Amino acid sequence: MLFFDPLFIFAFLPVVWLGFKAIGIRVPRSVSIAWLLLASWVFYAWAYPVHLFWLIGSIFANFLCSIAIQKNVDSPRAKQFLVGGIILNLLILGGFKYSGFATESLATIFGLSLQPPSFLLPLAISFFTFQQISYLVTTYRERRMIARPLEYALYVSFFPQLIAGPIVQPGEMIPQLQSKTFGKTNLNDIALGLCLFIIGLGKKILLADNLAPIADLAFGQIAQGDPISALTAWMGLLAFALQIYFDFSAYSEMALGLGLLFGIQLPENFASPYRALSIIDFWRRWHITLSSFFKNYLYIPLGGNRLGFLRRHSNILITMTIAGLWHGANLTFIIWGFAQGLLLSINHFWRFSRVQLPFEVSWLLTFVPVTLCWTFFRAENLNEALQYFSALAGTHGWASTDGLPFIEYLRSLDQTEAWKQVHYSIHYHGWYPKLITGIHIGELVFSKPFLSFIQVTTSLLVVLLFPRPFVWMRQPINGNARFTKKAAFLCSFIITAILIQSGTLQATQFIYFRF
Amino acid sequence: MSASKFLKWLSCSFATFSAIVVALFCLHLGQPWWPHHHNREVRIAKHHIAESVEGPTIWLQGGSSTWFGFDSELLSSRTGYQVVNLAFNVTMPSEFCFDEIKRFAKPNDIVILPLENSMYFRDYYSNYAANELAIWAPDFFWDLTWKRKAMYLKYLSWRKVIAGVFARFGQITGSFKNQLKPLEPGQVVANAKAHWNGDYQGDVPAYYNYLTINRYGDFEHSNHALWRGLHDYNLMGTRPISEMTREDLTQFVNWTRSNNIRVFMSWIPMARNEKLNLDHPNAVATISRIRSFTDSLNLNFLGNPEDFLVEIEDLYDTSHHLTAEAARRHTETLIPILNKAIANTGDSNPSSSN
Repeated sequence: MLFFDPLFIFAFLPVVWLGFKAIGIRVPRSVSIAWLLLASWVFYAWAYPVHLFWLIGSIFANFLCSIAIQKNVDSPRAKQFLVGGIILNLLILGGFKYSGFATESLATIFGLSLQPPSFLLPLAISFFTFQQISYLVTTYRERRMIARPLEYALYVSFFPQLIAGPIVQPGEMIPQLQSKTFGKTNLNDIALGLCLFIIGLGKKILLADNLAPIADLAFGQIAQGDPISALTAWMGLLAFALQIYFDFSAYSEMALGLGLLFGIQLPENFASPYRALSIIDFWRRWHITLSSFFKNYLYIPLGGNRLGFLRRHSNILITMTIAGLWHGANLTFIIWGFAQGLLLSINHFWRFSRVQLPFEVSWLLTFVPVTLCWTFFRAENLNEALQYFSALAGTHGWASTDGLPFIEYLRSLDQTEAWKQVHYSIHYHGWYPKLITGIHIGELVFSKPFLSFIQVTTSLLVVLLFPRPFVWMRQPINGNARFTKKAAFLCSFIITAILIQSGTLQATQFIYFRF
Repeated sequence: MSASKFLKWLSCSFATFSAIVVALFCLHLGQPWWPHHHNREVRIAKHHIAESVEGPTIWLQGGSSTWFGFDSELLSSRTGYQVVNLAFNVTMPSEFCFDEIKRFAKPNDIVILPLENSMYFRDYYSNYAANELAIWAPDFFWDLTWKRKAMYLKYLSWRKVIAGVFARFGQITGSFKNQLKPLEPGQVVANAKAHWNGDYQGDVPAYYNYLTINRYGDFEHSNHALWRGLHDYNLMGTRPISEMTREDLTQFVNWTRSNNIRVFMSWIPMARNEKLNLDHPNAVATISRIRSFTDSLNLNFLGNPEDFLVEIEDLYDTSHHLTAEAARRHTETLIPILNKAIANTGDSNPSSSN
């Protein structure tokens, strides 16, 4: 079930929310938790019920492990349980996610005929595994039982954040579940949650899903071996850079909004990353909860910046490469992660120079490399990525001239024959939309390349000019909700625009669902 | 602002935006739009033909393979019925096609439905049809049930709505009307008549238009084959008959029965080509599904798909459009089967039907 699925919006969410409100009036807090847990499991099992087995099994095993850690808190066995738990989690994650990639790699390197195992990756395994590792570590560090079984199960399974994060630390959520006021949401939270959910929905449906075809077309052509012009390639890459931001931040904001509807405040996952003025700044703003996870549970344990210059930079490279691998079992993700590590290292070197660049230059030096790196993230394989870089460099020309010979050909025909040819193009090359939408104001205005350009630039402007909703909707000092007419207008505009577009939109799954 | 006030503002502004959208939608309906006003003019010309016929009539309706696939003059001379070819485009919704017949058919008429195979399986409005009908048949929208209205709106392009609104304002200023040159219905009929009499001197404005149909509503074409495509004619899939088609055809058949109008189903002309294999289990099953469906409505098919296979050289400009000669042969193949069916189902003499 997806957050923008009508079934979710008009059936699942109202039923779960009304049930939650009804339960919260009289019955104990644990019943509210149980109700949300049940709803979360239904949500998770909706598409693939069998996956629930892995989720519940993982919750059960990790909770037992946390009990073992807590019971042996004064003996060295606690650490053994912690390490054992982490290894078990990573083995399961690795088994599902990387065994195929590892087998293929071994077969390629050693020329073996190995058959990669094939099984369906349990949805959100990367997210719930990391969240549980952070719970085990926190239990070990705090030397106490942090949550009761139901609280723990809901902490892992809470449906707004279960599928694609944010990766919540125990301290960010469990105290809220243990609060006496849990189950009694106030109107402020509901209004703010609704507003964030709508803004996220708009980002996903109106922006991300409209950018997707532009990126898909460019990368699809490269995948098929068709040459594309540099203009098309840059447009496609920019579209993807914006698509992935809007797609993922949309999910996060919808998750935040849904959390608030149930009185739970989840951590913010994006802080306008494309406004960053350095790579370091970018990684403080992009997928914040994952960055924090890797920083706290990998970079710092590796030694962080405490063991000298070389170790610091190798730690950055290792951390970012593993972060890349976390996204998927593909060489392209490893290279993407490594490239990000390299950029971070370069950024740290640059800091030594203490040279202050103008705002615009800093922004470009951040945005362009980050965008270029998305090529590895989006390409299906390394060869495709290299081909795409080649197209970006203009090896197939700067602008497409595909249409020109046809126009020249049409000019050479008499009027009736020209019409016949145009008719074929309408029927067989899918020119209908162009003709339908492109009249009067000039075909250019609604023509595909022009529309793509408008969509990409509009989206970029939204990224650069609009404040992030969570900050915008909160008072800066006391953190209370800040409701304005502007927010109300924006939300109602988004709902109306989604309704108008509902027939023609091609809603796609959230990109981060596959991780 | 308090949360409750915020929610009130949210509701009020949503209502305002919705009202604006409804207003824009209403404003855009019926706006001529190049080159689609040519389709509007084809319809005007066909309606004129339909209004002009007298006596027992055979109404042909389907997709463009019907528009291109018949020699109605021949059909008329061999059956004694008047013939009007109302067919237009495969994407037109089935209820629209049937409504076109309902406008003109009268007791003792005959309807032949060589529906494109895809029309049996379609459970949506095509974007093309939704956009087109909003331009030149806005009444179609208003006549739909609420459920169908919602479905129709789902397939209407919002860009088209904006473009239509531009056209509306342009029409007010006059410039767009000049640019679009949508003809008044009277002018369309006058030009069409002049064309049928060989007196029309003006330009033929586009490829498919009211000046490329003859006085029966058939497409006027040559034997010149412009383009020949390969196609499986939607017989090789496994899709079930759509509820939409089931509902529409059932309603139409009920209407024809209550008006003493006979309906015959027919197969479209299909070219032998590598994508089509009528012996393939999928094709056999699909044909069987279509037949079972029409059998359930007590509708007879005229002949079998094999009877209407043509050679790829018989195609005019698409895999569904026949050349003039092939259209004549297609009609000749159908005539004996049709005459037999007419005789089996009632009076075969149209003049005695009056």
